[in-house]
Amino acid sequence: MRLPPLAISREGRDTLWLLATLALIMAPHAARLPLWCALGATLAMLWRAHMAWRDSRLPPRWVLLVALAVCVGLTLLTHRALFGREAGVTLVVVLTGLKTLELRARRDAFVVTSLGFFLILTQFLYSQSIVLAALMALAVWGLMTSLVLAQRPLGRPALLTVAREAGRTLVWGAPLMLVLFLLFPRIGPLWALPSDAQARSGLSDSLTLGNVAELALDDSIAMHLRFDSPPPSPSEMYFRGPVLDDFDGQTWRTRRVRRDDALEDTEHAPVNTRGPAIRYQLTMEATHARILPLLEATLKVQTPVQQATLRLQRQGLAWTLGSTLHERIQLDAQAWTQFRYGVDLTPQELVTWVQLPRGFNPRTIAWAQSFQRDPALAQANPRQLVQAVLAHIRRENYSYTLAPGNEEASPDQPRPHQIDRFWLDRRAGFCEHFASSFVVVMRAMGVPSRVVTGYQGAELNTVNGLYIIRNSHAHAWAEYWQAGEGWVRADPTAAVAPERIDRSRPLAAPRNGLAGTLPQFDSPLWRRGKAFWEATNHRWNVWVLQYSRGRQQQLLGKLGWDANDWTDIARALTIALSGIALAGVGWLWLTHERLHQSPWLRPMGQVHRALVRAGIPPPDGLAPASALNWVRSLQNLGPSADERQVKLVSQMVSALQALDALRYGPNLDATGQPPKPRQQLAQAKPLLRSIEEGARQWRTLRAMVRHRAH
Amino acid sequence: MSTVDPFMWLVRRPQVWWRQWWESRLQPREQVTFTQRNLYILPTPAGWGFAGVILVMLLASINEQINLGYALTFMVSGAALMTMHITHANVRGLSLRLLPLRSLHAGDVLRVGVVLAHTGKRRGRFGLELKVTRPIAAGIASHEEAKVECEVGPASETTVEMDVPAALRGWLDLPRLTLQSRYPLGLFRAWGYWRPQGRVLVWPALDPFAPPLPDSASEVPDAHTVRPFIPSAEMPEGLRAYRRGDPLRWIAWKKSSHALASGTGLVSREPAAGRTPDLWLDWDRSPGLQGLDAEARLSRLASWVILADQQTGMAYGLKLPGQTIDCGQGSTHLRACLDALAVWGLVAPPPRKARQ
Repeated sequence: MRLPPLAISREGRDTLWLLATLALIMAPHAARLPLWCALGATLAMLWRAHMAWRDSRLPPRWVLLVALAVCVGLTLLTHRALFGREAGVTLVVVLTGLKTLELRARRDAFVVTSLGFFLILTQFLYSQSIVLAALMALAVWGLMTSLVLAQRPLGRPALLTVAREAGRTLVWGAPLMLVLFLLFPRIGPLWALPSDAQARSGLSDSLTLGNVAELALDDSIAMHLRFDSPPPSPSEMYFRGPVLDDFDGQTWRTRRVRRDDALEDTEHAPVNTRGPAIRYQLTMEATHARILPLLEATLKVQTPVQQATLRLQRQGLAWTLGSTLHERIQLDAQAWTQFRYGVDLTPQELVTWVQLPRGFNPRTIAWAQSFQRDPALAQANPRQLVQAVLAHIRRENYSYTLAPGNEEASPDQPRPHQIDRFWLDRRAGFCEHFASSFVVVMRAMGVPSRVVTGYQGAELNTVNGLYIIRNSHAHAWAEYWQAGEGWVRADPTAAVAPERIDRSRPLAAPRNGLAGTLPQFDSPLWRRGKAFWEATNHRWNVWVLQYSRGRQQQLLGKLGWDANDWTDIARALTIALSGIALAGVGWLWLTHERLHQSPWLRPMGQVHRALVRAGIPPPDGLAPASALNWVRSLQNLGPSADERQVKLVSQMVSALQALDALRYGPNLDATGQPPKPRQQLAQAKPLLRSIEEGARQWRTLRAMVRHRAH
Repeated sequence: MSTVDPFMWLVRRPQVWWRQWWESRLQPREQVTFTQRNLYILPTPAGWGFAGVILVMLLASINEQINLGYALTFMVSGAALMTMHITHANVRGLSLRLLPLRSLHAGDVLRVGVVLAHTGKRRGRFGLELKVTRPIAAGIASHEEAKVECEVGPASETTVEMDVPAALRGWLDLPRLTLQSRYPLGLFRAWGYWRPQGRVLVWPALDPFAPPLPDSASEVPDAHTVRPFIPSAEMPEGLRAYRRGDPLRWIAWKKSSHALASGTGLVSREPAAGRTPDLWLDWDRSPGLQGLDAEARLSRLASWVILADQQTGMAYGLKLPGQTIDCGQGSTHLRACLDALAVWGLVAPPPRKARQ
């Protein structure tokens, strides 16, 4: 038998819709999930879709329980845990996949949509790009549509209609969402997460490509600075953190120095300074680390009396604390901009800064060696080589981006030859890519060099004159050793993105992967499109990804509210929410039902009051009684001896009947249209007056009759 | 049974008090329009669950410091909060009124037709449920509820039929109706109550084992109630086939013997219209009522009344302790008899006061 094209039951259709939405949500996870999990979830959903299509029965519960147990076991085997990010995502995907197998669209819509919202949230742990955000917004809409479908049990409403209803709720919620997003106080993490959350909160003594980029998305404040002497320009502000000497092909690491090692002395080698010192006061937020990134060539530090227990140590130019920093501290320090450091290193010592791991990045090394063979550089000293390489970076098509693509190495997915990929192929990266590649190139040319991490740049708050250094100012640069000068700073990022250094705002315009893989057209249209896309991306970064408490304060400041604290922001939020609630109440008031009351209600009320006041018993039923009921009531008054009473009654009865005729009769006006209620009421006025007059006379008459009877 | 059931006292009793208080507040009305004054709204259990989900998502966003997580959380919570308005607006402005009710026998199910009217012209109202709450019986607020799902388009009406079981004879006040909706997301439930001003007389149940109508002749003669029967003067000329219930004296024996011989049956003399001997259905004296309790008697009498009404031309009367309905015929008479049976022995309910 041939079925018509959409011979699918309504329940089946709703289920398919929900499954499609879930598939959209899970799809970006597929590459990250263990293979068994991705396959299992796909199979479960395909099976469920088949059952929905055929309207067949769902599998018995014991099958699901067995599958659940197997999946939990597999999760434990794969991740060695049930909690934590990766294991959590795997589990939620597994649960959702299995839940669909006992899904009856109406009843279980809530459970599955809730799981769906969680899944969407987990997507953002991995990527917050515009494209993903747009996809997930669609998915939210799909889930909402499923919820609405579950609440419309009758008939077979068209999906489009229901989707429009769901969209309506989202649109209505948008102002609330905007206010909450802008004003909900951004506070720090409530509790420490296991594993990878540590790497993002501060600098560490190792660097895998991608770490600093994560830090650069964190717009929270790392420290405040106040200069007591004329401040250097922000582009000269390098805050020196861990120095990374050793490279194993994947990760840069700080060299561990032991107390009794000869190297210790070289690191303690005196720093020669020239010129006047810069005095400054520094307030540092709790970093939960021991590293103390101070302005480069800070040699003297004093702690306030109440914080004397801090044990500050200097090793060369690097400062560390005796214990991890769990509270905000304040320091007075002096730094020198002109200094020499490590001048006395011997060639034996310098050898360790020329070493490269074997078997990694062969193409870059070959490139560097051929670069050096250039006759112009045959006799060049390190300084000239550095200048030549920086010129190469400036000349070639290198670009600076926060999102260099999914190229970062992770412990479980090692990617060898990252430097090759960056330096020769992609040519787009973040400061850490530039710094580490630069050092690899320099070492390949035999120049002793190393990577330095820390913060670079600062924002001047014009209100209080403080310089703010945010975690997004995290930076990586390079140092090379020049005979007679010691270690000299070289910042390859400045060569490609001078604005990153000069304007001292992180240039946050990650190009997304798509644009990178497309061939480079050079048409004006393409260039304009690209510019537009980058501008959009920039705005996205600034307003969505890096939206922070600082930005909230700026926003409120523009509105004339000097917010110092998250409590101020919370107060602003409360005010805004109250405003929205009031708007809701106002909307209710504006749209409240004006009951379509009959225009006759008031005149009949007048009649009722007049007649009741005259002592005529009101008829049963609703008040005000209709004219017809009053006529009956008047006629039931019984025979009256008084001539005038009879006359009054007949006068009132005829007036009441005239009222009824006016109200219900087929009174068409000259044009053949039924009269408007207002015209009718105007005509009723004399009748009303006659009834009221009659009632008044009736009252006086009755009083007279009673009086006479007595 | 001297023990006190704690469940009864802690849960059931307060429920009864709560509902009695509510229902005493509700004036019965002919029709109701739901406005902001008589419409209530609260989150559903699913709504509370959803709030929990949102809270967890917010915590995750705070802890992971993901701004898009915040955006998602606030998008969902904004939409969820706004459905409060939408749900409320989905029921607001609807009005309900009753279709005429018909009397019925105890044990039957009363069909209550309710017209759901929507005057708004812009959008329809969806996901509505009309719910009957069973009346409080024997001090227990029953949780049995009958629900009918409905929706109504813009500027239109729809009729919903609800079943109300009528278990006992007598006046049945319509139970409280609830119109509710969880549309669009099911996070909030907006509802309004209506006590329809409708009242139905429930006649006694029909007796399935009712014997045939008692023969007036076999009745104990009573000079006051049985009119003398004079065949010579009143016997009509016409003959007809014997019908069950014809008195023996009506049978034309001679004609019948011929008819029996030809195989057709007994023949009665047809009485002139209005001249039928009256059938008195008597609570005390009619045969076939002895040994029955009051309700069984009422139910048998009701069955007999209906049987008698189906006999063409038969006049019947009803004699109950303290009440007598004279012999008569026709649907009005039948109705009077059934009504009398329905309310016999019941305390007359106070007349309902119209609300001023």
